[in-house]
Order: sequence, then structure tokens, then C-alpha cells
Amino acid sequence: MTDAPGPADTRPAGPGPAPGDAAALPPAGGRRPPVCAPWVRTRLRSAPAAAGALALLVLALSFLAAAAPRALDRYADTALHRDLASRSPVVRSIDAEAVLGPAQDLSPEAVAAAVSPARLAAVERRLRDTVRPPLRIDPAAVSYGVSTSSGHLALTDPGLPEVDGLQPTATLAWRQGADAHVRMAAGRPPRAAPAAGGAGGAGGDGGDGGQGGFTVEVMVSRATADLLRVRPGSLLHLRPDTGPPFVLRVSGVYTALSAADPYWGFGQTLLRPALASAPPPGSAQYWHVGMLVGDASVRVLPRAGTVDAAWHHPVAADGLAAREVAAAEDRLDDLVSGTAASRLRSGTGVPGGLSVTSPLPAALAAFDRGRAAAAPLLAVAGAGLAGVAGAVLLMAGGLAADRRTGELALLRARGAGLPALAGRLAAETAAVALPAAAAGLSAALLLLPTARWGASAAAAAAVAGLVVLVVPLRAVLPHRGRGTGPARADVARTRPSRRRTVLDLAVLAAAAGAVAAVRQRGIAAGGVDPLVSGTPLLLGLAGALVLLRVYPWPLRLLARVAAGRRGAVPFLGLARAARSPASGTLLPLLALLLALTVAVFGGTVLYGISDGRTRAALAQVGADARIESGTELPPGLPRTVAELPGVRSAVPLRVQGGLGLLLHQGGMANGFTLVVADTAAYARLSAATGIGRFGTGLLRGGGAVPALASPALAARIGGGAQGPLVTTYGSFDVRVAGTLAQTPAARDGGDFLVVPLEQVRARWARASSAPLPAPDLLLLTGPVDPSALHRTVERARGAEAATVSVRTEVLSALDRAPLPQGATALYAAAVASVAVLSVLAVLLSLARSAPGRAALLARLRTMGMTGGRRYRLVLLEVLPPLVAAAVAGTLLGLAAVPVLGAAVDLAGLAGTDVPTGLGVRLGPLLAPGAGLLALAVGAAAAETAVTGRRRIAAELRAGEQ
Amino acid sequence: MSAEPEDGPRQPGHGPGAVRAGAPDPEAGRAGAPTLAELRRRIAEERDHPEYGRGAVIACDRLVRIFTADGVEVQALQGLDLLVEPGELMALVGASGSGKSTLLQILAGLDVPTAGSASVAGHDLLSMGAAERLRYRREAVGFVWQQTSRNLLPFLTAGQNVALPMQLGGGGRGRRRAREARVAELLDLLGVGHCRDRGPEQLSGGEQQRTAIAVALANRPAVLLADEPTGELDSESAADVFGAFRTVNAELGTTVVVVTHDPMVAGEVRRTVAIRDGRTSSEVLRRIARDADGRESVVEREYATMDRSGRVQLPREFVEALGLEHRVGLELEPDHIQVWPDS
Ligand SMILES: Nc1ncnc2c1ncn2[C@@H]1O[C@H](COP(=O)(O)OP(=O)(O)OP(=O)(O)O)[C@@H](O)[C@H]1O
Ligand SMILES: [Mg+2]
Repeated sequence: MTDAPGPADTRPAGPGPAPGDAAALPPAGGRRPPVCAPWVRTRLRSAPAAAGALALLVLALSFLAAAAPRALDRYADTALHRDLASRSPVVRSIDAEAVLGPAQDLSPEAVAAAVSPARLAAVERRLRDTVRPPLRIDPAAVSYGVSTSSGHLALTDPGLPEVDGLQPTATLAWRQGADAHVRMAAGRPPRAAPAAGGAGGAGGDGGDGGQGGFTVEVMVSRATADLLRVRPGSLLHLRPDTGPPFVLRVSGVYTALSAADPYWGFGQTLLRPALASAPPPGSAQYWHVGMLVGDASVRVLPRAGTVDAAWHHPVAADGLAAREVAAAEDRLDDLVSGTAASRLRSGTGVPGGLSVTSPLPAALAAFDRGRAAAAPLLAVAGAGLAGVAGAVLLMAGGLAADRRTGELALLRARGAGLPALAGRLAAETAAVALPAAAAGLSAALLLLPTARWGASAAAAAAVAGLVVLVVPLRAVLPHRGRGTGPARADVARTRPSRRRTVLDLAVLAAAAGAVAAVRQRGIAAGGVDPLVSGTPLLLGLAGALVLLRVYPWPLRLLARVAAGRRGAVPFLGLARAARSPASGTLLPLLALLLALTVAVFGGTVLYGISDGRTRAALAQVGADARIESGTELPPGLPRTVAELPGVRSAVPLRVQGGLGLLLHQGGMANGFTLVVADTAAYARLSAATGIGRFGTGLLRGGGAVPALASPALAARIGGGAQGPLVTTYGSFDVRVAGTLAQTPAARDGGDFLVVPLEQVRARWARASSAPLPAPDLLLLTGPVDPSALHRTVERARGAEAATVSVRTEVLSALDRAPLPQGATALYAAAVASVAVLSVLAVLLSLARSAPGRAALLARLRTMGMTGGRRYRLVLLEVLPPLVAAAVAGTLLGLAAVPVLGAAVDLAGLAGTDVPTGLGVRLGPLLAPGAGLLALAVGAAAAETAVTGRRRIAAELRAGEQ
Repeated sequence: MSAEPEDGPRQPGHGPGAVRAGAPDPEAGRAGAPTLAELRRRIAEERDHPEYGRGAVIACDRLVRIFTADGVEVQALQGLDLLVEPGELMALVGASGSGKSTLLQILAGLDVPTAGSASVAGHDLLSMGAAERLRYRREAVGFVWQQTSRNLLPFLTAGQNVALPMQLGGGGRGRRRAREARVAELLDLLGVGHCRDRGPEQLSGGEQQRTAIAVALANRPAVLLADEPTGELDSESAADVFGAFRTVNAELGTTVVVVTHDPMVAGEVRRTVAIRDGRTSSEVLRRIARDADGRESVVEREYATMDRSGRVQLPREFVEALGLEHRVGLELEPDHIQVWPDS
């Protein structure tokens, strides 16, 4: 057709290869692609990077969704197991007990028949059948037996150790499987049948002796043998309150195979003697020992009076899942007082019946309380994570849809129906999302093993379903109208529609309502509430909506300023930032803002927790370490301790609690603690710890002893001198010279009075020639080595009653407490996940706008723009929305502190008793935003470097699309 | 001076594809309200005469399209009339911003006019519902856009791109063989049979546009619309592409409307309609004349279009040459009308 204009008639086919040529060039693979393209496969193959990004996102989100319920389960299970394991088997046992004796109208013969080892074993089997899941008994820890009622069998031999002039008492016990739990130190286990008759075994030939009593073989623990000074072959005499006397022949001395064995938990006196006290009026103390008898002797135990049969079933510490706690509590209720209990009472053949008791419900209830206290804050973290995940998902869907706009417009123009389009997109998305979600679910199942998986599968399926729904809908909806697709909308020019205004106002109202509700009720009160849990998220959302409206203003202004300047780079960069499509900017902005708000808020929570624990530990110890005793500390101890490495100061204090003071104005100030302290040392101490700082000048001056009082006590006492105050350290008048909120010396938080040692000592010296009683409290500062301190105090003579607490040890105990540790870790994991999601959001949004930028950069390269200026251009285009999001997100997270702060008590998460609020520190506050910006700057640098190396021609060609 | 053409048909609407205005009313141009008798006559005439655009495949009547952007109204089409006969190959020309693309978008069913009426191949573009619009886009029209990359899906081969509209139409898998045959037939017809299994990025611009024509023709549309299809091409490929339009028009009988700035292209069609300020202003008809010796030559005549109420737009050069302003004087002569400046 290059010839002259031909006649208007049509002409035969234009030039081009003859049909013969058309056979040329099958594609490199050799096989011809089918004419009707298999859509999904073609799409995936054509855009592997986009498919990969989507797969990665779905993988991450479905993993998070599937991991959340499992992590919760595992956290609760682990905490429960650790909690139970940290308690002694005695506290997690289900115990059955039967008391048999004259009080039950039972003859010794009847009792003997009922408590024979065979009968006891039968009852045990019955009990084990009754204790059903979810309660699981630790079979190795089960023990049962029968013993004489404690306390009434006095050992009559002369020369036995006495404490307050009372004879020792003994319990004769038979325990199932005792031989398997002891090692004989001397002699042999008791074996011989009891012999009737009196001392020296000069009785008849066994059997139930008459009035003469019995000779019974026993074995005793090494500690008991040492106390009683007996060895195999020794004889002891036992006189029950009623019935015949017993002669005990020691056949052997044993030690426990393992003292930690739960088997011994229920019979401590069988291992070592204990000091018992007589009933109050006298409260005299005496020794009580346990002795084991052989199988053959069980039948004579009832002769000594009432016997106790007991069956102990410690529950396996790791046998109970947290989700079964409620069922376990019901089951325990049933066992203790329900139908199972009544069946046991009547059905076991024990005369008088069994009673079942268990301390386990108390332990479980404590666990439940702890878990309920942590739940609301975990719900906040969960809601934040879910919200951010949803926003990132929406954003990814939006970006994917934007990328496809042209293609969809073309298809639509060629007559593709919306359902057909959506169907194709859904199939395409599902082909990526379903395997990715399955992989995410599998990863969660594998990495977080726990029993339940239903919720995880549902959550992963929900993520996959949401993706398969959101991506096509988001892509197709803008093409709904009759036109060719969505109209172009620049971020800096788009004006919000009325519908969006209404929506924005609704969100703002919801956020305000949530804040009001939270401030009224408190976050931790009243369990998990969706509105309360979503408050930080709602705040973030509200802030995001406001930001989206405000954001164009400064951008437009900057762009105008840049347009007036000479440099091309600021102008181009800002113009591109302003001209970037609204949909491509707003969703990333929203996702980032939410993520930052949640992350910053989470950071204040985490910091608040650690701060709360630090403060709780300090409050509990009062300094870096504390040595305290009910009596006077040995005089040399302060100096010895002060010389330990790491100790900066050791401040001895004299403390007396429970004091009262008659007031001149009438009435009495009661129950306060007196602290006598060396003014200078105490001032240094309180300055070092930050607890109860004061000016030393306050404690000077004559007249009545100047004192620093707790505010309530100061108000009670009033201004003038009062007294006399009668104390261990003398009687003196006091006047309140100032108030202190706290003192490191008293840790119970009650009222106190601090007086200067110098004046007290002077008054004491005037009144008495005896020395002033020594200090009973020693507070240390400095990084002292705990084990060295413990060792030193243990070795010091006269310090047996002293207790040592070290701040770092208390703190690490707080950190390690099962529930708080798990909950805090979970919270931290949620915040970390949010951080990862925000990184993902930044990278996704950068990747989305990268091709356009690459084309621009290539064009600018042809015009000779240098790499440095291209980098600045990229930064100027990329950073404005990120800076806006970082600043606004940080501010919003920070705003959440005063807005919600009053309502948030982190004590449940921190595991402390004192109320713990959010903690603000600059580092954690700024880190998320700064990190994101640094990431963006790095990504921009990488992008400039990569595009700078690529061939310009390829770039220009690729950029056309 | 005279606005009457020397050699053209006296009454518009005789040549193939001429803009056919309603019956001219000799008195309409004059001042004065119509009398009752006159109105009666008009109604009778309207009844007796065939309806506007009957027999035309494209009929636009007083088409108006107003865009509102940032609160400012832009009248892209301001009462445009256009008739196109079946089987015609015509060009639309006009200055930038005159509304050509807007018209084509409307004809392609991608935009909806603000007022007026438009029908293409029996579909009323204003009143059709969503389902009909879908069917219309699928079966009644095909189009080719200027940007070569916008016509083809980048991830499909040329053949797959051609097959796609057929798939969109639905139909069982049994028709695959028929589709394959049609794809091959179309590609061969357009001279790009050898490109069947290549992706768009492996095609030259001309090949891409010819493939795009094949795509547009996949569902045998009655009308093929092209908006500056050769705008991005060098003159040689442009000629190839335009040849393809000719082929399609001749072999398949498809009505082809091409928007172009290319004078060469405009010079090769029998009818070129010019659009000015959202209205058809003039058109050029070409025919082959035989002189006394039997030699053939192309005879080109330019006409002004007259709308149904007899309004005629004078060519700008004429207006400027005589300094016409505001008013002109008219005089009806036996076989033409004279126009004078108001002096
Ligand atoms: N979506 C739109 N929104 C607002 N105004 C528009 C839109 N599309 C077109 N216009 C305006 O309508 C008028 C006609 O535009 P149109 O694209 O039809 O011109 P054109 O004749 O195709 O020009 P060109 O030859 O440059 O392609 C122009 O003034 C244009 O600014
Ligand atoms: Mg145009």
C-alpha cells in the first residue's frame, strides 16, 4: 500500500507473507501452544513473580491464622503443665481417706479385715477406675497405705530426745511398695509376723496377743534412727492411749531411693522426724517420727486405736490440657461431692465409707484466674494482628487488581461478563492461594504441635477463602459500570465521595465509643470484649482515615514549592508521589498505619510489662539484695557481706512492725512499721534505688526525734511532737518532719515511720547501759553474685533464720512464672508478626510501583541523569506516604497511651500484684517507624542500583506495558 | 459567492454513505414561526418518509456527550449526526480534541452518550441493558486502539488472543476445532499466520495491529472500529495495516470506521468525514471518473454536511476569506443558495 493512492475500491489482501510462509516458527519448545489458552496455567506462567508474591503472602497469613489458635493452646497447656509441675504432688493429688476405729463402732478385727493390703489394693483399683479423663493419674506417683492415727502413740523409752519435756510420738504405717522405694542402710525390711506378748519378744507364738500387747518389727529412716539412737535389733516401747502397749523391734534402717520421689510427698515423717506442737494453751513442742511395718503386721495396727487408710493419686503434671480445665474441675467436683463421691462412699466396701478430697481445684482455679487476667490483653494483640493482616490482605488484593486494570478493561470491552471475569480471577487466585494456605496450615501444624487442629484448619481456610474472594471482587468491582473501567484518580486530587465521608464518620464514632467504653470499664475487666479488644485497631483505623484526608494537603504544598524551585529532582519526585494512583497509595497507607499503631502500642505494652516486673522486683526486695531475719543479724554479717564482690553498699536497718502510738489529740495510730536507719547511709540507699528519696536535712534537729512518715500516717499523727513511742530500740517522742511515699525497708506497702539511728542510739545510751539491739535487716546495692551471697549467709553463724532475696533472682522468677511468661511471649510474637506484616506491606507497595519507576528511570538515564539524582528521585517518590504513615502511626500508638493508659492494667500479663501501666520509652516507640523508613530507603537504593545496571532498551520496552 | 457545490449531488444522501439529512424545508432557513399548515405538512412528511437512518449500520442522531471533570463541563460531542451504510470503509478525521475518540468509544459500547440517539447494527446504544451491551460488545463490534500494547493481552500468543473473544462468547468445548480453524483463517487473511504462536512482545508494531484486527474480527462483528490504528507505526507498516482494513472490508464485508490523522489513509477511502467541535462538519467523497479517453482518475469532492434542521457549517477558510461574522445573507437561486457577508 505504499504506492500512490489507489482507487477507492477495495483491493485484495495487503502484503505479508504468503500463506506458505506461515508455517514458520513454532515456539522454542517445539510443541504448539493450544489456541484456546488454558487460562490459569498461562496466567501463572506469565506472571510468576506476582503469583509468587501472592503465594508468599497467603502462606504468611494462613500460617499466622493457623498458628494463632495452636500457639494459644500451647501457651495455656505449657503454662498449666509448668504450673502443676512446680507444685508438689501433694497439691495436685486426688486423695481418698477412710478413718476406721472405735468411733465408727468397729471392732479391731473388723478394721483389720477392712485394711488388709489386699483390701486396700482392691479399693485402689476401684478408685483408679473412678478417676477418669480429663483427669489423668501419674501411676508412678500413686501411693496408698494405712497408718495409726498420728499423735497419740508415745514412745515411752527413757532417754529419748525431748524438746519441751514431752516424749516423742510415733506413727506406725504400712505403705504399699515401700521396699521398692528404699535402700536399706542397715538390717533388713520388717518381715516377721507380730508376736503377742510384752517386752523382749517374750510373747507367745504370734497371732493376736491378749492384754500383753505385741511385738512388731519396724524399719526407720536414717534420720529417725539418728534421732532416736536406734539400730537394727533395738527395741522401743510404744504406749497407745487405749489398748495394749507395743514393743517395736527395729529390723532395719533405710534411706529413700530418691527423696524427691512423689511417693514420699505424702509421708514426710517416714523420711525425717518432725517437730509437732501440742494444742495452743501450752503449745509445747515434741518430736514426731514415722516407722514402717511389714505386710504381716498390718492386722495389729487397729489394736493401737483408730487407723487412717489413705490413697493418694497425684495427677500427672502434663496430663491435663488447659482446655480440659473446666471439665477437670467438674470431674473433681463430682469426685469430691457429687454422684461419684456417693458411689465411692458406699460402693468400696470400706466400713464407714471413703471421703475424697483434693487441693487440685484450688490450683486449677488459680490457673484460671491467671489466664483470665491475661486473656483480654492477648485479645487486644490478636485483634491487632488480625486487623493488620486483613489490611495487608486488602492491600495486596488492591495492588494485584490495579496491576490488572488494563487487562480487565480490554477483556470487558471485548465482551467479557463480570461473573466470567471474576470466575477466571478466582480460579487463578485459588490455584495459588489454596496450595499456599495448605502449606501455611501444614507449617503451623508441624511447627506448633498440639492436639487441636480444627480451629487452625478453619482459620487457614478462612484466609484462603478470603483471598479467593477479595482479589477477584476487588479487581472486578471497578469495572462494574457501563464504561471502560475505573476512572483515573490521583492521590493528591481525589476528593472523597459522600459515601466515604459517612463511612469515615461511622468509624470515628465507633473509635470514640470504644475509647469511652474502655476508659469506663478498663481493658482487663470483664473478660474479652470485641469492642475493647479492637480499640487500638479502631484508633489506628480512625487515624488512618483522618490521615488519608489530610495527606494530600502537605503533598500538594510540597509539590507546588518544588515546582517553583530550580531542581528537577524534587519536582519530578513529588509530582510522581502526588500523581500515584489513589488506590495504590491509600491501601498501603492504611495497612502501614494500622501496623505501626498496633506495633507501637504493643511496644508500650511489652515495655510496660518489663518495667512493671522490674519495679515489682525492686519493690519486693527494696534494693539489689535483702537479708532479713526475725531476730538480730549476727554482728559480723554486714561487714562480711559488704566485702563480697559487686556489693557497693550494705545498709543495716532496724525494723519493728506492728507498732502503735497514743496520740495527744486522742485516738491511736496503729499497725505501722518503725525503721531505724543511719541517715546518711539510708539517704544514699534510697537515692540509689529510687525508692523514697528524701533530703537528709529533714532528719536533723533537736527535741522530739524527727521522723519521715508514710502520707497516711503523717496525716494521722499531725504536726507536733507525739509520744512516747515505745519500741525495742527505746522509748522516745517523735515529730513528723516529712512524708515519704515508700521505704525500701518495708515491703508490705503499709504505714511506716523512719527515724534517724543517731538520735535513737543517743537516747538509748542515755537510758540504758546495754547495747542497742543489732540490726535485723540488711539492704545491699550493687551487682552482687546471688550464689555467693546465699553461700555467705548460709555459712554465717547465727544467721540460720535469715532469708536472702536478690532482686535479679526475684525478677527472673517473675519473668519465668509459667502463665505470665507464656502470655508475654505470645504477645511479643503477635507484635513481631505485625512488624513482619508491615515490612511485607512496604515491600509489596514498593514492588507494585517499581515497573513504572523503572521505565521513568530508564528514560531519565537516556537524558543523562546521574545515579545519585535518580536515587533521590526514587526516595522523593517513595518516601512521602511512608513518612506520613510512620509519623502518624507512631503518634497514634503514642496517643493510645494517654487515651487508653488509665484503662490498661498489665498486672495480669506481667504476673505482678501491683497495678502495672503502659510504659513509654523513646527507643521502642520510635523503632517500628524508623525501621520501616530505613527499610524503604534501603529498598529504594537497591532498586536504583538494580535498574541502573539493566539495559535501557529492555527497560523502556518493558515499561510500555 | 455560492456555497453550492459545482459537481456534487444537489440533495445530500445520494451517494453511498452520504450524510442523509431529513427532507429540507426551504423555509426553515428563513426567519418566522412555522404556520399550522406547515407543521401539519411536516408531521405528514415524517410519517411518510422512512425513519432516520433506516438501512444504515451506524446511525447517530444529534449525539451529545458531556464530560464533567472537577466540576468543569466539557462538551466532547455537541449534536453529532452520522450515518454509515453497511459495507462501507470510511475515515473519520478532525483536529485533536474534536471528539473522534469519544464517538468511537460510544460506538464501541464503552461509553454512553449524554443525549441524542445512536444505533449500531440494530442495537440502540442508549437504551440497551447490561446483558445486551455485553452481547453487543461481544458480537456486534470489534475495535482496534492506537496503542499497540493495549489491544492484545501480553501473556497470550497471537492465536490465543484471537481465540479469546470466541471463548468469552461461551460455547462448548466441541467448538474448539472450529475456533482453531477460524483463528488460522483470520490470521492468514491478515497476513500474520506465521505469528500465531508468538507472544505480542515478539511481534512488530504492524504485526501487532494486524493481529489486533484479527482479534476484533473474531466474533464476526458487523462493524470494525479503529482509533488511530496506525498512529504508532512507521509509514510502511501503517500502509500494511491499512491494507488489512481494506482486505477485511472487501473479503468479509465488514463495515470499517477508522479514525486517523494520516492524510495518506484518509486519501484512500471513498468517504472521509471530518469532525469539528463535536459535530460532523464536512465530508469528502471520492469516486473514479473516466474521461473521454477512457483513462481513470480519482475525483474528489468536498461537501459540507447539513443536519436534519438544515444547519450547515461553512468551512473555516471560507469564513475567514470573506470575514464572515455573526450574520450572513442568503439567497435561494433555482439550483443553489448564495451566501453573503452582512455588510
Ligand atoms: N474522560 C474524559 N473526561 C473529561 N474530558 C474528556 C474525557 N475524554 C475526552 N474528554 C474531552 O473531550 C474532548 C474530546 O476528546 P477526544 O478524546 O474525543 O478527542 P479526539 O478527537 O480523539 O482527539 P485526538 O485526535 O487528540 O485523539 C476533549 O476536549 C477531551 O479533553
Ligand atoms: Mg483520540
